[in-house]
Amino acid sequence: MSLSPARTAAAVTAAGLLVALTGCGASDDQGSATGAKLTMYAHSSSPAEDETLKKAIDSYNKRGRNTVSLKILPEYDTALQTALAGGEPPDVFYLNDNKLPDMAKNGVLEPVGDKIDNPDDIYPSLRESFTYDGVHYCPAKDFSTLQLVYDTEAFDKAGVEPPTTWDELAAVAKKLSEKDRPALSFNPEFYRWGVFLAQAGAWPTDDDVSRMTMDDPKMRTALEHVAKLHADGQAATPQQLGVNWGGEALGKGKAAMTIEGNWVVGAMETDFPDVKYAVAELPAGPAGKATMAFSVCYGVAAASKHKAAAIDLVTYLTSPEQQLAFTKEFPVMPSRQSLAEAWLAEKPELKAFVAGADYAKKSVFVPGFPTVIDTFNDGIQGLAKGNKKTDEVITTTQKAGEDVLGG
Amino acid sequence: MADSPADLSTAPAPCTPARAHPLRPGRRPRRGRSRLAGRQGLAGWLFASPALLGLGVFLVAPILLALWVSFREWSGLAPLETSRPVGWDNYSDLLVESGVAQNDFAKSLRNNLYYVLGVVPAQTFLAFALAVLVNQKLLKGKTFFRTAFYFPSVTSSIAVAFIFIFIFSPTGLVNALLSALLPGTISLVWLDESTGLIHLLLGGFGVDSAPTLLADHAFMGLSWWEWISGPSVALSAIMVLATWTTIGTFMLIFLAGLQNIPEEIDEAAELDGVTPRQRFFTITVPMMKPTLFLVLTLGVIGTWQVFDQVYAMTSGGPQKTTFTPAYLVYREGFHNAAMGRAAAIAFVLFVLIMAFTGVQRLLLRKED
Repeated sequence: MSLSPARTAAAVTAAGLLVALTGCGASDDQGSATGAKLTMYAHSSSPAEDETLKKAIDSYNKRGRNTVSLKILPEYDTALQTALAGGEPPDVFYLNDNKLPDMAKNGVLEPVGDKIDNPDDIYPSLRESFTYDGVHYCPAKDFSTLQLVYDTEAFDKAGVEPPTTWDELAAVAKKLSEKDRPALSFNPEFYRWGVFLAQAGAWPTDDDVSRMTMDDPKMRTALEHVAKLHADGQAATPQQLGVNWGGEALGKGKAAMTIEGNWVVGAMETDFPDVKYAVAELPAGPAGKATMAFSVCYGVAAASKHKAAAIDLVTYLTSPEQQLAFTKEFPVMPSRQSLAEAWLAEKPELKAFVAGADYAKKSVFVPGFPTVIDTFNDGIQGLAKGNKKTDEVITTTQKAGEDVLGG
Repeated sequence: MADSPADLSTAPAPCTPARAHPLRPGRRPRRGRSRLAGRQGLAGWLFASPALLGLGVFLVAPILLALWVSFREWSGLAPLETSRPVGWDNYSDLLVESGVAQNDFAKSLRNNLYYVLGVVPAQTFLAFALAVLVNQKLLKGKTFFRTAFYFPSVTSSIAVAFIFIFIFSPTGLVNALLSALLPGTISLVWLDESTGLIHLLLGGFGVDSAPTLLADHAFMGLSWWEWISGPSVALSAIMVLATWTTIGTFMLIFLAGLQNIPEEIDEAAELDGVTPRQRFFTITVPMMKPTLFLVLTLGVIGTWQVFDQVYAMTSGGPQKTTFTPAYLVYREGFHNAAMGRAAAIAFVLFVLIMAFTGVQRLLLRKED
């Protein structure tokens, strides 16, 4: 029924050590760029994506440079972590941006970000997400941004247009809210509320994540603005509506608007094909437009014995042709700026997501920061529910962050 | 950690080689005897070696290794040799140093303490009651009831957890039932309700914020007011689930205990004119004491290790009210790249469980 923590920790560390003892240390030798057998780990978001990835790898294998064996894994983070701790990691692997600081700090990654063809074509904000201590570690595979996703029928019925400012948002929300049906629903967590912080010109830390900046009037404005939407019944958490996330709230008609990223497109297609929706840019706050970007990169393991071959594979996968072919099938956007137009030509309705790339805030911090985000989320949940005060949230998050960043 | 290799090593397999002084088995010369004992011992160790090896590799070594890791800073992302020694830092971060790590740990202890205090008595009492019910001789459909009561224990806990998410959802069964029974519509968001039951109760008496005495004093970075919150509504839902899934197993243990009570004792009591009620309290209950101890011990150990329901249903939320030490082990190890701290939590939890079991043993033994 339950799993003994002592045993779990013990088993994990033991497995790590056993493999570590058998694995040999990484050599400086980059190996040859061809003729290697490579392993690649990837996570899966949909069967369709798995198919496309397999196709891409097949076509690479057919070129006869290297042979890649692809493993698409469930419980991806745990699987990747144990492989890394064991000292026999996959040569190439998907890496979520929020994991980058931990990985880079621990010397797990080979810096390959600038070794692909034309690396400057990648959006600066995405390069930034995968940069730690000034080193661009891995090239972004693709990315998503958060924008306002809304139910077009509900908007038509209420006779409103997508809001472009906070004031308009409040006005539109008021018109759309009905008894037991709030206008807006999104998860009470930093990775959603953060857009409002950025729109107000506030952020938990300064730009190089060296200092906490929670105690700021702009932060107070932003938090109080969103808390008020909840208090007035114009916004509700998906949990309060009996669903798991904003997309589901929209699909089930429990809210007219939500704040979600590109993945909402795939989910709506499979789960709620009949719901008509559209995407607009998030309303601008006192400090203008802002959103958050999420990305995944192709990491190359520092312990890989075939680094040159791994770079060859990554170069292939990030080439404009491959990237366009890959993202064409999915709502995620290519990480190369030069492909934006070609991608949009196929999906003009997702223009708002692409626009977000210009003003998206990177949501990557430093090692150890997840506890601070947890504490902030605790506060955000309290604000959404109305049982915590803004000052309390600011103080506890500031303090939690100082524990991690120092002073 | 229940089985120890000690009982295997102290009892080598009895084997008597044919050559060993067949004429005077009782009075062997000293030297020969010790040589023989040595050889016998060797054989014993040899026979026990597969089991010892297994226990060593999969139990002793990992535990020692985890203990070692708990004194190091290790990300769990790179091989173990990249870790560095930090002495007692991981432990002091949890227990002494005030900070977010200690605060989270204190919350997890508080939550789990209420969880243990709620689940253990409930599951023990209910399991005992059910066992007595299905042990009745005149009960019809005994097998059916036994199977039915045991059923939750056979089901995968993750599957059950997901079913309970639906049952406790705002439009779920629990709310529908309550709405039917109580005036008005109940739309409580069970799994998203962070208010503690004791706080709710106090709120009923008009105490809805911390009195200064409780607000100003803190232990492990958590104010007394927060310590006495009681389990949050969300945690209570998980407690109901845990009780429901475990009573089957414990009912089975109680049932075995009940059937071990010799029938003659009951018959003798009946001849003496003892009422069923007296018989239950003066014969059945005292005779069930060893079983009761077993169930309580297993219950305490199991409840201090709760993980899967939290992982599946609430991920530690809302507002950290379903954090448990076992869940923190997972979070620190796999999300926060702090394997050393995760191992330290595991060992603090281990000590805690040992302490709880020890106290319980003392209490139950005293009454004998």
